[in-house]
Amino acid sequence: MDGVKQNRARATIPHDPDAVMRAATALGLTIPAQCLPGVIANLALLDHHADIFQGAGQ
Amino acid sequence: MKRALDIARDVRSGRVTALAITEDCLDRLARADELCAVTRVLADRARQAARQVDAAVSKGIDPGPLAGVPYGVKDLFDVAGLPTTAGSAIYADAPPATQDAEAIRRLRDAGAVLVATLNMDEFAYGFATINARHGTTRNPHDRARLAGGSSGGSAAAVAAGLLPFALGSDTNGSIRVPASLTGLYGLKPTHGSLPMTGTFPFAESLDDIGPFTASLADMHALWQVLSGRSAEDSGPLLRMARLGGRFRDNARVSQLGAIDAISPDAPIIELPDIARARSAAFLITAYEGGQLHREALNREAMRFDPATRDRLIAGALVPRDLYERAIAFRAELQARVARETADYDVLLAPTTPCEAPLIGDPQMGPQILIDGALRPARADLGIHTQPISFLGLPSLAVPMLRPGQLPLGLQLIGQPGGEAALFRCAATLEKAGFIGVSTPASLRLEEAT
Repeated sequence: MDGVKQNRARATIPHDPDAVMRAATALGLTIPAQCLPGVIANLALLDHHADIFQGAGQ
Repeated sequence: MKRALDIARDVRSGRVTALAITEDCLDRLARADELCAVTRVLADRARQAARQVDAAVSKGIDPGPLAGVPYGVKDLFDVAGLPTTAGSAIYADAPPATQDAEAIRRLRDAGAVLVATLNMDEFAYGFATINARHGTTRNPHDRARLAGGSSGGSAAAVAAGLLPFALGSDTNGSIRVPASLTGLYGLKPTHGSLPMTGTFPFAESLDDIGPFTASLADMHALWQVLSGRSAEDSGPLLRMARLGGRFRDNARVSQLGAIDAISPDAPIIELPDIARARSAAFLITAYEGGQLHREALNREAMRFDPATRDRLIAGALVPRDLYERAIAFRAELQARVARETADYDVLLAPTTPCEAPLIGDPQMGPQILIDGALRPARADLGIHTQPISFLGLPSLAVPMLRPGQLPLGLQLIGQPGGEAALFRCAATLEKAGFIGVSTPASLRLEEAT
């Protein structure tokens, strides 16, 4: 991988419904049910960028 | 509408009054609803400011370099007496701002007259200016197409000739993207170089403000007023490079042709880690935006624009550790890019990967091709601007001169604090006929009748 070395474990972004709700609860964040599909779609996009940033995808 | 400096010259000389200019501008704004560019017309305030300019002229006092020039601001600048909404219904009834944003104060001191606030993606989160409260801003060159965003109202109002200039904000490309799609000059300054006081933040570590203009001379004047700095008109020969890799892989043939014709002997260089830079910017933006709105999301999520709401909630769930890594990477990459580009004054790149997309199906949203795959325009029109914001570099979006075609822009990217070199470069390109503003066909027809 070019550039800055990533020595730490890869950070992940939750994007399955159970993991998302658990992460939200831990942060004290309430996600209205009707928002969940849109939130999950956006988390998948962010996870894609997390992969690229951490050198696991392009 | 005339250029800003032409209006100021006429007002200062007494050839025309600021009030007459203001009334003409208010009349244009009242007839431009279909563009969905304007959110509030500030008629009383504008008339009062114009009268003050005229009073100064009549007493022989110079009202300033922008005397009587009407302008608008993206809906995230504080305007005394009005709520700052950032394009959201949530803040429609917020307590009014007690004073103007610092940038507005500087423009007022230079004699400019604020006449309107302008449409944007809610909380500046998007490259499309699709706003659930105010509607989708239309491109004056083809009203079936996006004007770009998030400062789309500012761009559309200037491109349509409603205003000679407007202010926007640029976190990841929100000035440069709409400037490219509407055929204007748009400046994202060196990060932190223009005053942010009195603006509603989006992702504070990346946010900047800047102007849209329909002429390079106006942009130069606005830079001087807003920054308090002067940009030298002359200097040593500019050293240029062309950005390669992803920048050339996602560009129109006409953009590459223009870049290659502008500087055929300039080396093609690749910025290191550019895809990672864009992704890190994406993560930082999501995290900071999510944290900023977390309380409001918990309190009244359903009052947000649905598309913005879902993006902000997702951003609030980005792990802090990942955000901190992205911030650390930014500092390292900035230092590395500074070393690797130290030999160049101006880097040439496309602004957007394509012309303005069709607004299209509201369910799917407008789509564009990135790396050969269809991607949502709302998130991906900034593929070439986002990494430059991440690096904190100044970038002047300039319109390729292509009358009769949809607009398309180039970025002139400089060293930190290197705006003067960008203005010099743009002046050369304008003189050589590479860049310039083309009037939308609909306006040419209006002017002819």
